[in-house]
Amino acid sequence: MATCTGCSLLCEDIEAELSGGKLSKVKNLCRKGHGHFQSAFSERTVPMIDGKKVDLDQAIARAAEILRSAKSPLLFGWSNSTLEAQNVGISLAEKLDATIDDTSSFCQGILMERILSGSIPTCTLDDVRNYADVSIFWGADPSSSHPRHLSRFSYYPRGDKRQKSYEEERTCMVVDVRMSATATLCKDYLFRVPPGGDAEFIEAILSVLEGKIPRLGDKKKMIELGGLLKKAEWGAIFPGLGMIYSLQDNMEVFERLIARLNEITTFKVIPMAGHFNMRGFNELLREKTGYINRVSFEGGAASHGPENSVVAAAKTCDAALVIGSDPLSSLPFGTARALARLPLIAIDPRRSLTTDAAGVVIPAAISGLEAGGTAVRMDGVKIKFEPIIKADLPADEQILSRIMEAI
Amino acid sequence: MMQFLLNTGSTIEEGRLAKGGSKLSVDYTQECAVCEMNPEDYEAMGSPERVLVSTPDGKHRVAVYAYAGPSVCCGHIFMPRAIWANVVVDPETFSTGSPLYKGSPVMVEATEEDVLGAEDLVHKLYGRGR
Ligand code: SF4
Repeated sequence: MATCTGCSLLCEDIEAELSGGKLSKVKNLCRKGHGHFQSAFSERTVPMIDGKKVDLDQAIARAAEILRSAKSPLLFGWSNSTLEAQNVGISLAEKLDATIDDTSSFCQGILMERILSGSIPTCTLDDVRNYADVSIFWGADPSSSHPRHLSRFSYYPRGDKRQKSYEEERTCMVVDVRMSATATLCKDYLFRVPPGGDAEFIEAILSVLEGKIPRLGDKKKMIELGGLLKKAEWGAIFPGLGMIYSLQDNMEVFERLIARLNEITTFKVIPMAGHFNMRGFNELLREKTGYINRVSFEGGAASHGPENSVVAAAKTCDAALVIGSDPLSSLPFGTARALARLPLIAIDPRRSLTTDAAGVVIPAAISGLEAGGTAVRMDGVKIKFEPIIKADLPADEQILSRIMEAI
Repeated sequence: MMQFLLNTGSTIEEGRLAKGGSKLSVDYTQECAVCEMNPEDYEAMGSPERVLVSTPDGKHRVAVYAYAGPSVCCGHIFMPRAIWANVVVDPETFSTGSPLYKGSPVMVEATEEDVLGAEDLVHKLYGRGR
């Protein structure tokens, strides 16, 4: 059995053979996972300095040189690396007095912080499979982003207490601005909110729960939703980026909703982390510094703040190392351009806009396929995996250790 | 030219291609350099094959394929979360240091401009790339 690192569900039941440049005998992979496995054969990177092929040792030496001479380097990415690699990465940041940040900084971080500090109750996906009768995808579209979420955990499987499952015992709801792929599965329970309207929507739910008529939205639908929430025996809410971007600083109102729901029944929250080990990085950095992301080690001690976010630091740092991430395509134009203009080191198994713009490219083994390690699933469960094929490429962890030694 | 709210998000094909290391392929451009509009808005614009999406100040603009889809409400557009959308996403960082991937105001008009692949787009925007 192999583990898929295509998303933060880290499916451990994958069967696949990768040989002779072909993927065959595949079982249990979703479409996204299939693409991920196939990537072993496409657009692989080679060691490069300023667009010219070099050998690995030269690329590593050049990376070390750039970082050594930088005054305020930024180390960014991390969500697609194993815990072992992240661990070395954090030590490297400490050694360099650098700023370190991961992709959670512009996605799930603001909610993950509350989950890890315990201010919002959470559970495992196995609990969801066994007990949940209501699952709410809020600004999340797992059918597109985490394709096996509904079939492995939240809707279709027969769990300990949910033998009649989706036919009789489970309800799945979607809160979204549009009819997403997931919403088409549970049309009757799609609650549409206008962009940025999630806080008001929550206030409306809170007033329905108090038995009041909501001032906003479709009153009949809101009252129906209030009824469903109250009747739930064991509910789970899965917030995606739609909710996060809408609430932004106002996460407190969601916290209030969850506290209120838990006075009535049980409701747990699992953030829909995207990349396979974002949560792992957040947990590890928190353990070491007290903060889940946006940390600067300047002056030797860890400090935290928005000025250390990749969006801000891209404009103030004087060199950047990007690992397992493609900020040039995933961040807004202004930030991406600022990164592209820096002395940039990219560690990545695959070619991307970021590796194209980087002065130094270091190829890495693909975690899960060519390198083993440990990662943390979106619900906090640690998953250990072995590689399924042998590759000559070094893993992220080894590359980072070698850079560290050379500094 | 009409103003819309831009919503970005994942699609399974985007995920499959991005995870498959095909982000610089023609398939990826076909899948991600697109803008879904409500059928009413789309018709009102003359059912164009391509549209130019720009920031309200007109500073940043990107041409993408347009199509009508019932999943979005009038006044909204949906673009897969990829480099094309990121050209016009509001980089407003709030105190949270987070860009506005959902609900950025954008202008949309029909266009004859060509839709660029990721590499050409980067080349045009940054004046670099290979
Ligand atoms: S759901 Fe995620 S982890 Fe599971 S097979 Fe699909 S991409 Fe891989």
